[in-house]
Amino acid sequence: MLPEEQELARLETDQATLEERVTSSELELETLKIELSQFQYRYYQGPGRLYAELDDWEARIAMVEAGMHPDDVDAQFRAQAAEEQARRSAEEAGMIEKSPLPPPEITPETKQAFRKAAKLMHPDRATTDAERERRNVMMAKVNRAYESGDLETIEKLIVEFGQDPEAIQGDDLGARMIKAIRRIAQLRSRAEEIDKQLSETRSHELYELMVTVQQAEALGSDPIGDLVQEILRQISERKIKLEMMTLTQDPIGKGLSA
Amino acid sequence: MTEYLPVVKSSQQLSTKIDTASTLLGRGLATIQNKQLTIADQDARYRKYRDTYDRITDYGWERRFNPELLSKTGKQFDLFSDEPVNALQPLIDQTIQLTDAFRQLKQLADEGYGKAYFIVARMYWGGQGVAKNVEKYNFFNKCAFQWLFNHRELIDSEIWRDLAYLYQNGLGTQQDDEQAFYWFRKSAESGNISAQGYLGWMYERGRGLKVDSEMAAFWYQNAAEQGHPTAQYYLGKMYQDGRGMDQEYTQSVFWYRKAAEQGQTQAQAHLGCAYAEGVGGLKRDYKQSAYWFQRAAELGYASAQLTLGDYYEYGRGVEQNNKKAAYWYQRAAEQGESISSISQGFLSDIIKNNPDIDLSNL
Repeated sequence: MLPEEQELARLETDQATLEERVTSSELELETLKIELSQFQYRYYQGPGRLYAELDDWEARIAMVEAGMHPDDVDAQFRAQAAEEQARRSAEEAGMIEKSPLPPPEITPETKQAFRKAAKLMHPDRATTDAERERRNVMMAKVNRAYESGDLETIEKLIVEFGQDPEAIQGDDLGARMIKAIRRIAQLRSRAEEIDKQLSETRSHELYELMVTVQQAEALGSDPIGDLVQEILRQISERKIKLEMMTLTQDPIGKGLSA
Repeated sequence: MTEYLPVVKSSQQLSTKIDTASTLLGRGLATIQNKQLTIADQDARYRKYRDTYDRITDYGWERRFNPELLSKTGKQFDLFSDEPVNALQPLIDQTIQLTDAFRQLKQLADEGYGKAYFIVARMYWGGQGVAKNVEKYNFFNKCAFQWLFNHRELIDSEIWRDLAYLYQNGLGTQQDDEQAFYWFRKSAESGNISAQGYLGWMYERGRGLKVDSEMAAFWYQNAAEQGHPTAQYYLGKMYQDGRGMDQEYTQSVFWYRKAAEQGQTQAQAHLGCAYAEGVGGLKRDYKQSAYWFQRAAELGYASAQLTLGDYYEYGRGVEQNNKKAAYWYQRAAEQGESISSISQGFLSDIIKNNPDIDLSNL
């Protein structure tokens, strides 16, 4: 082998390794986002919604208190703050409710298919704008299919894509080396960006919450269930309190036995 | 021309309100993390302090604890002194323990431990470890009823007993003797001592069913044999009155003594009476009589305090002492029950005849 040919071989190996790594990272990031959105949906359906309800009851109580003591500035202030809080919580909880249902479980087979498709159709491999465009479109379809856990569609898309027209054949050595170098640079940059996104995602409260819950569930407890119980209990207390506040003199509970 | 880097876009965007620390997520996280710390020993704490309460108040039957009483005793009590400075020391000791128990149980209720609602409510009524507070009493009774009702499927005889009690007294729900009977029986049949006592009581008075003295005695016996002081007292009383069995003074005294030794004040007073009258196989003995009335009086039992005052005034079983007589009349008068007026009468008589007794110093 000529030294240039050796160099090209080395570059193309590097490129392949990087492609592998980037694809893995893409997968990791995408999966993480899906996991988080599934968890988010689950959380807001349960505790999230209930917190909003709890804040609503708190606001109602504060309003009644403010009504009962019109001269008390603090009471008025508290009522206002409570209403604000209730509105914010309702908004936060409501916003999530309006979003579409989360995707179903992602199987290992689906993940594998995604990797295969990503490697094949990655836009970074395109050399012309038209080809890049085609690849972008295909990749977007693959992403959507992955989010829905739709293995079948991914496989269909792979077949549809057909043979890779960009498989470098017959170009001269120099051109191939340049292409390889450029692609490596792109991939490196992409890898960095994904890493950055991953660490950003992991610093969210939602992630911390999800991990805490998963760890507890692994030990056999049910933290979401417990949390729901706890909030329900608090709501129950507020309801009773409000009921007592709005009734006129509640008759004292009857005497004691013995 | 810059290379275009495709971004793998997800249609599900994360909530963009990241910087404003999602309150709903943050609250959940904080609660879950805290819960993992406190939940561990909640059961143990509840059990310990509920048992303390049950022991001192005999499952809530005793209602002697009135914190207002303490402030009127006049003398300050020194916790570290050897000699009891105050004749009501036993009552004071118990009240201090109850106050401590209340704080712990209230803490549990605040942490969301549903079982604690019932006992906290109970304490708010009787001034058992905390000042009487009708509003909180009503509030916690309602919370308790909801929680107990929602958890009635759990296999827990204490939950059933507490639920039955609420039904029986119409607390947090409509009064319903039939429901009360059902839950007391369920609890009693699974061995709950306190429920057995209450069940006997319901049979005795025909609450939620026809009066049945035999069944009453049966259940009192069950509880009594397991050491339930008030059940022992009631059993003794049934023997004394001859209900559900032949009148049997010796048996009566036997059970009174058992209860009295555990600090059941009504039994102590009845035992004192038995000694004074020389019944149930006892020889008339005023000294013994005075001893038992003293025990009951020290624990705050108004009727015994009145009698003890009488004993001191006339030197029965104790050395005559007008000052002590006045002291005990005063204690009884403060209790604000029907005893009070009688006691007031005796007190003013003795003051009239003994001007050297200083009321403010009693």
